[in-house]
Amino acid sequence: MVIFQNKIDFLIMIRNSILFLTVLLLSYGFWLSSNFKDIVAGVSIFLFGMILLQQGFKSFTGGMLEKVLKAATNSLTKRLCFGVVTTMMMQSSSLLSVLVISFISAGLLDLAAGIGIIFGANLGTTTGAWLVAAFGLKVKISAYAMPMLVFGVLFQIQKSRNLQGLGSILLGVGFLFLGIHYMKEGFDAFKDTITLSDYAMTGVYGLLVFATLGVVMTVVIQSSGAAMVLIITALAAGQISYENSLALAIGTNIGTTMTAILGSLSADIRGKRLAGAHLVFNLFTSMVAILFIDQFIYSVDWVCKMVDIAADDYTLKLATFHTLFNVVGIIIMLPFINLLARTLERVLIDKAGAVDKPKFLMDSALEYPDTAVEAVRQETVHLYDNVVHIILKTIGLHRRDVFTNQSLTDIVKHYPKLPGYDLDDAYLTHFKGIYSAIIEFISQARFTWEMEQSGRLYWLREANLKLAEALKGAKHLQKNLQKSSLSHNVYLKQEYDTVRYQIAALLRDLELAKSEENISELPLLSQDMLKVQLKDQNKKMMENIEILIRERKISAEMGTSLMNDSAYVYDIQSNLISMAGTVFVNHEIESIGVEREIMLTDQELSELVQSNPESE
Amino acid sequence: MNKIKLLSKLQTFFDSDKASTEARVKGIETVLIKLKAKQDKTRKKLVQCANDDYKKVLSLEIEVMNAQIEKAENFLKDIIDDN
Repeated sequence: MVIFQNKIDFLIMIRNSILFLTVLLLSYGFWLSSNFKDIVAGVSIFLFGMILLQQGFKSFTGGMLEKVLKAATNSLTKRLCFGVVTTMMMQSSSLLSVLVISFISAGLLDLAAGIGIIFGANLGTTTGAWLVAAFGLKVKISAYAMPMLVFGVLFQIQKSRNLQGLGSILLGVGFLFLGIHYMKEGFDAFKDTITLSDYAMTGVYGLLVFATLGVVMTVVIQSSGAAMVLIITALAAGQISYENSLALAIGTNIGTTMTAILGSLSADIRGKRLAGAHLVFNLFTSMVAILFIDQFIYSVDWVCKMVDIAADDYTLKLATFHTLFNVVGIIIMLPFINLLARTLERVLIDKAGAVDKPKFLMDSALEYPDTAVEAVRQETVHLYDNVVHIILKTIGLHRRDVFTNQSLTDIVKHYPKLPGYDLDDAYLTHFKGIYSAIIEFISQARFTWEMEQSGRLYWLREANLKLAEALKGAKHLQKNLQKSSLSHNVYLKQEYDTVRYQIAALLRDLELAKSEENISELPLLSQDMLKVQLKDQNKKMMENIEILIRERKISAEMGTSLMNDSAYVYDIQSNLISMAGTVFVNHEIESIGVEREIMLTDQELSELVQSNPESE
Repeated sequence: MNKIKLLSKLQTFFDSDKASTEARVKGIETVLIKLKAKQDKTRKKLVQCANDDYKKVLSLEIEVMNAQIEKAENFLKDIIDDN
């Protein structure tokens, strides 16, 4: 009996055995059938395309693509239209699902926005049936692959980062097309051999059997569009009944999610969640279609009569049915997008990466004082980004809106309600792990050497503590902020919107201070301006609350809660500014020592605010 | 020759305090020049500004810079008086 030294050795052995077995099975499969070879090659090329797409989108972050995406997806209507139009143009909802997964993985879209696009994509995919049914045309997906690969390589070898990103995207999409093409080629044998007329059935039994057949067919062909073409052709040739074709169409809706699930295998947890949402939506829509099939048949007849489609034109009636049940599904599911996103986030947890891990703290950095300091600084910036994410979620706003040139007043107005957000969970997931790692790293480093860098590490540790304090403030603020968003008192709501505005405004300023392109000439002295603004805002807010209480526009209880919350806001902001003074400022520049001496003290700043007539 | 070298080294050693003071004064003066230039820029912005809210922000910024300039000048005066 083999004795394993530990569990890890055992797991490594199992993993290697599985890999070896997979290689053997694949090799045997390749030897047996050329179709199998095509299918597996298709899957591999498809997954490779996914990786390239993700790389491409990541290199575009902050650039042109981000702007196009934001412009196209900042409202639900736009997201739906984006989904419909893009799918209509690409003739593949599976492809768009894969694209959206890449957007989400690169942090360009959140899950709810992605789900909106997928809903639109489901509707867009029905246009394929219309095209085939009405004109007998179909876009050949593989025809686009080759030019995309050529242009992709051409752009990839350019020096410009944006062009390289575009090259990766083109290569990614090209490989995706090629992958799907190979999969289809491989499965063509199935397409040619299945004779649907052999399975003609009626009633509920027929409905269920044919819906299942539709699922299997779509999974095998790897394209709901191709499956729909097969169904429409079979229907036109009289191989299957109209009733059975409807069931098959329902089945294709479920089967198409398999491509997205396959695409999500190489994506992170966010991609998996989107594939989950796609599956839930298509399952639900299909269920509705199965349960209310008679009503749908009646509605299709009515719609066709209204738009002058002949009663015996079954192919167009099938296209109408395909569109109709997807529209109904969207109408029913639309109000539940956020709920669906939250549920998926709760159910699908990234077990391996549930807790954010440090990115820059390597043990080797401990040996070099300057490297260690820089590693801690970068890790603190990473932690700051997570804190910004948590705070923005707490105040019901999104990074994609706040860090643009849009008016903050409009952004705050655009999101009047605050969705529930589990801050404790966010603290454990996005803060605690990295924070603890930084503190441990600093402790080890400070023990190793006593030099100038040791002092910098002390201040970096303080900066991390400030981040923890800022989060504590956000936690205190959250309860009343959520209550206020549901309140009917407009004055109270207004005050809390001001609070949200102020926090977002500071985060926007700090984001500018963080970016290396925006180095201020007197960075430390510039921070006095932020501090004095905080004091000024705080003073004005307190005065405003007093007026509101005096004029009985808010109750005294509401007023005192507001005052407490205003203090929390002040804490959050001043902690973040203090942290920025340590982390975002280059302490190597010559003027820093003098700036530190000239910086105004808290007392001096308060006196300035009190004496400033403009702040009255 | 060796005596000259030794004397010059001693001279540098005894003048090190003076050198660091001079460097400090120069540093403060540089920051003061930058601050005043920044304040002038903000003043020009204030004159051209039409938005009342932004005007208040700019005025406050000028006030902050005034206080910083005053503090820097006091530091400078103290250093010169001490020496």
